[in-house]
Amino acid sequence: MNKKAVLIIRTVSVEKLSKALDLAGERWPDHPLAVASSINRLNELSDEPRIDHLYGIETGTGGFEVPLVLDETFEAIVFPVGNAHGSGYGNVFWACRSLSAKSLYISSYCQDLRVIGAFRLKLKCLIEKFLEDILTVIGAIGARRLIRQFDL
Amino acid sequence: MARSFSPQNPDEYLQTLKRVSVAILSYNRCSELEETLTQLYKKGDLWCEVIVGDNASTDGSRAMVREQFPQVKVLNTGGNHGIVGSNLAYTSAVGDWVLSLDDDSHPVIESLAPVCRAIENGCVAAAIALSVRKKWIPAEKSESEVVKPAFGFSSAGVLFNRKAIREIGAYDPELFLFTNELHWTARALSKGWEVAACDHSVVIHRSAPANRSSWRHAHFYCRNTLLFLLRYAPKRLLPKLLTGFLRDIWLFTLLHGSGVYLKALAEARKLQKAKPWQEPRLSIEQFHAIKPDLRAPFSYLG
Repeated sequence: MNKKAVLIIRTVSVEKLSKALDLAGERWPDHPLAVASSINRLNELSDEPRIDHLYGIETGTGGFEVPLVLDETFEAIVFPVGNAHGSGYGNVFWACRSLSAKSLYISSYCQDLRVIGAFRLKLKCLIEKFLEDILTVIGAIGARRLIRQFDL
Repeated sequence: MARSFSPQNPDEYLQTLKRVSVAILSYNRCSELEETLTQLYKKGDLWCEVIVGDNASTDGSRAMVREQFPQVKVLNTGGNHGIVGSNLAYTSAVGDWVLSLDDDSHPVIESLAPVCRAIENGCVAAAIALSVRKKWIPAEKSESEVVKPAFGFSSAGVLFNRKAIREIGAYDPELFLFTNELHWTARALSKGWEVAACDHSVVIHRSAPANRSSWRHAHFYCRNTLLFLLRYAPKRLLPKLLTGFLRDIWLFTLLHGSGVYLKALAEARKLQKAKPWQEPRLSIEQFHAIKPDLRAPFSYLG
């Protein structure tokens, strides 16, 4: 029977992703590895022999804006993050909210794999979204000032 | 009539490289520079010239070039001035086209036939982006050989049309590092030039770990992206774009517990104030085609 794939979301540079691929390969040696990445980086990843499937993600000027929808159920989904707890990746988690997997992992600095519950992940997204909403007001005031200051 | 290279002489495209100057930005990565130059000359002296724009390296890079590659021209910027090293090399080049490389990137010469064909056929693009990758598998022939329209490139692997460099100028030196390609693309498009890309022609970017600090990435990416919005974003989109970007500056200041983004904001304002901007802005269509990643500056710290 075909084993379910492990999906890694490319939220870090291709160099750091390589470390995450090593970690996933060690953890799930018998499972195929899939990577979801913004379309403009697919070329760079197409030569990577450790990747069995590649999925393109539509991104906008705000990064991961479009929800990622895949029919497959994955063994695990891994979110490599460039910091300790995944702060600032709320938009990525949010874009992946409809994906289905047995378990979810965060890979801090691409150096470890830590299980994270779906509820906690959702909570992270909601907190970041709440902060974003509040700070949008400050952003709007700042934008108006800049436009006025530089007569844009 | 469109030029095609003879199947009897598969290396005919190499003659086109005599119209290409190579410009390499170098800073304190001597062994990487040595590898790049070795790769450039592995099939002989194919190029119009090779120029190294060196940011006053202190690790013996210039001495290495003088000793091992005496045919290479080295231009010393006299200090670490970031992309000024590239600018010096681009503007002193004499070839019709300028192949821009980093000290840790090199072209796969065997893959350059399609861009050489485009050059021979009178390509009028301002720049042709090459496919910058970690490695190249020769057996793979799946990539399109077509040189097609594009809206961005990486300095680690791009062919500049020297006519465009003369008309548009080189990179904006005050940017120092990062997003300089984005700014240049905007200038080129807003002045009526086109940018092209060829997926088949490959540059290997070895991405040496030296001189890659996250703080510098975050600072310059953030500052320069804001400058990009202030200078080139279409007026109609500006309030929304600036609101989102300033929100992110505050958001990531809190999440990352770092003042680097606020410092970048202050510097961007200072630079914008010092130099009133006269260049034309991008149209909404051009801006959406470039699709700058406004979250990128915030992905280096945490």
